Amino acid sequence: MRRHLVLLALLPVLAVLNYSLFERETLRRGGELVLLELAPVDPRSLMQGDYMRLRYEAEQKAGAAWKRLTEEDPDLETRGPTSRKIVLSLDDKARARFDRFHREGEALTPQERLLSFRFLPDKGSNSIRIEPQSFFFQEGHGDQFSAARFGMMHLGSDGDHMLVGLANEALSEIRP
Amino acid sequence: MPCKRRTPCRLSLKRPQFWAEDTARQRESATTAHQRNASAMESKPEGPSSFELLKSVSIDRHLLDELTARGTIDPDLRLESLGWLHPGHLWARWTMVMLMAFGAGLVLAGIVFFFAFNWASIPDLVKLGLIECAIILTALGAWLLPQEALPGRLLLLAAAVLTGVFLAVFGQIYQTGADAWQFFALWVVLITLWTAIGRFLPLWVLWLLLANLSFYLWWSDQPGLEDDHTSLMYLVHALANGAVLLAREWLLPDPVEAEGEAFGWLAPRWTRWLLLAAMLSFLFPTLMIWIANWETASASVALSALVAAGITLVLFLAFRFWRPDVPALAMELLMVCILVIMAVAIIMFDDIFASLGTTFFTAIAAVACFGGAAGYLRSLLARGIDEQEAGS
Repeated sequence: MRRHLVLLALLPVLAVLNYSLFERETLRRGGELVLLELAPVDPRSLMQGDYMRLRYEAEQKAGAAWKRLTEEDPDLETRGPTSRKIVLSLDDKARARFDRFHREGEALTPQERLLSFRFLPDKGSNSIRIEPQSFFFQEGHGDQFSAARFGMMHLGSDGDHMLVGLANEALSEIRP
Repeated sequence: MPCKRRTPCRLSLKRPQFWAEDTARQRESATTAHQRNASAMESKPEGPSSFELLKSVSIDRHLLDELTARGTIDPDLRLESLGWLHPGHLWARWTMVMLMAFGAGLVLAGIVFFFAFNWASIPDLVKLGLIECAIILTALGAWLLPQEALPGRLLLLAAAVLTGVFLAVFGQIYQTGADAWQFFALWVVLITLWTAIGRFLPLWVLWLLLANLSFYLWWSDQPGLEDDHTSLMYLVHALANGAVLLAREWLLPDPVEAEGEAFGWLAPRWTRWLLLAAMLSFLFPTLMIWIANWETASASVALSALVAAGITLVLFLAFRFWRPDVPALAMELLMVCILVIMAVAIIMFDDIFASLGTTFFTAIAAVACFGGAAGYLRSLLARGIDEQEAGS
């Protein structure tokens, strides 16, 4: 019996792994591409190799806006934002800028999109964090990626998003 | 089976199966050796006169050397007996096990580092598909091979490691940006069932390391965790490991007879030492934070330190009386000595002396502490409190 449990234990493992794979692939294939401006910095992880730390322009703008809001109303810091999404406004080249915090049920114009974020009070100067904060690439490709100016983000319907690559000044994807 | 050191060994043992392929010449020489042995005993009136008496004699390499030096047995018989005590096939088996374990470890490390390179030219789904196939194949292998044999268990360990590789590569490809604790926690959850049914210590150690790592990374990454809470979280972490240690001690009431029991695979004493080391390494910071700030520490820090001191005392009593274990006591005393010396140094430096006096008296305190601890442990060893567990 114990022997068959080895195979039985394999099933949930495979289920979890393949479901997350399916979920990510759906977002990658179906989502809409927008460009988020970056302020980059880069270290290395043992099991995953080289990566670059990312800071998004929109994240910093949102953090500054949040700071202004909490200065007006100090209670806001403990309550947190009502929805964990920001509204991005797109220009004709799909470059996204932070516009405002999203309110539940609020309608969007055709040029606006939602992007989810994490709210982390008491964690450094900026309580707003847009995931992911890192971009993994093949070892040794760091030089090429240092030209990155935009994060290429695939957006799902409800603020779900996935970083699919980095783009340079000319808005074209960097492929080393 | 060969005799362990210092265990009674019957000289009249039947020749075991694994020597069946010995040459006729050796068999002949063995017979003559036995004849010589018998005649040697007849010629020595003070020696044991019957096989019944011989049964109570413990024999090991040193006794054989001594008997040879005295001339009681001749060198040929000594060699023959050494062959009984330390059969050559055991060395072959040991070598095979070591090579298999090292080989498996190196192959797994190679796979981990191969994927850590993050090859851009291998299509994403091919990478994930390869790893998933490897997980399925290793799990199938573990299912097909006999449960208690090493190859099957190593394959199960490989399946567990490859699950982590899959998660790491998944994070690379989809740029999930997940926190490190999420990665380790998911890995732990996925391999828990395999760990529970695998009864394989390396797999258990991997599980324990990952569980501790994800728990530690989780709580140290919590927003709003102030210094006060750090002390408390170290204590909670120590208690979590303590629960595992307690479970181990309860499941193995008698380590000597644990062979073949459901939890017999946890019988080696180093599993206890590993859990104790994990506990102590989290009790230490709880106590240290308080000692370093004893004048300004908040109630929560002081209380955590008090509870930690209580747990340390309980551990000491447990390994002194309930499960006498000198190495475990040595680990504890090492921690206590370091803490005492730190406390002496901090108090003296703050209130009494400048740096020179502090250095001098701290050195004296260190000599006294370690000397006292070593003396106490030696007296315990001399009294043999450890004896009933020495066999495991």
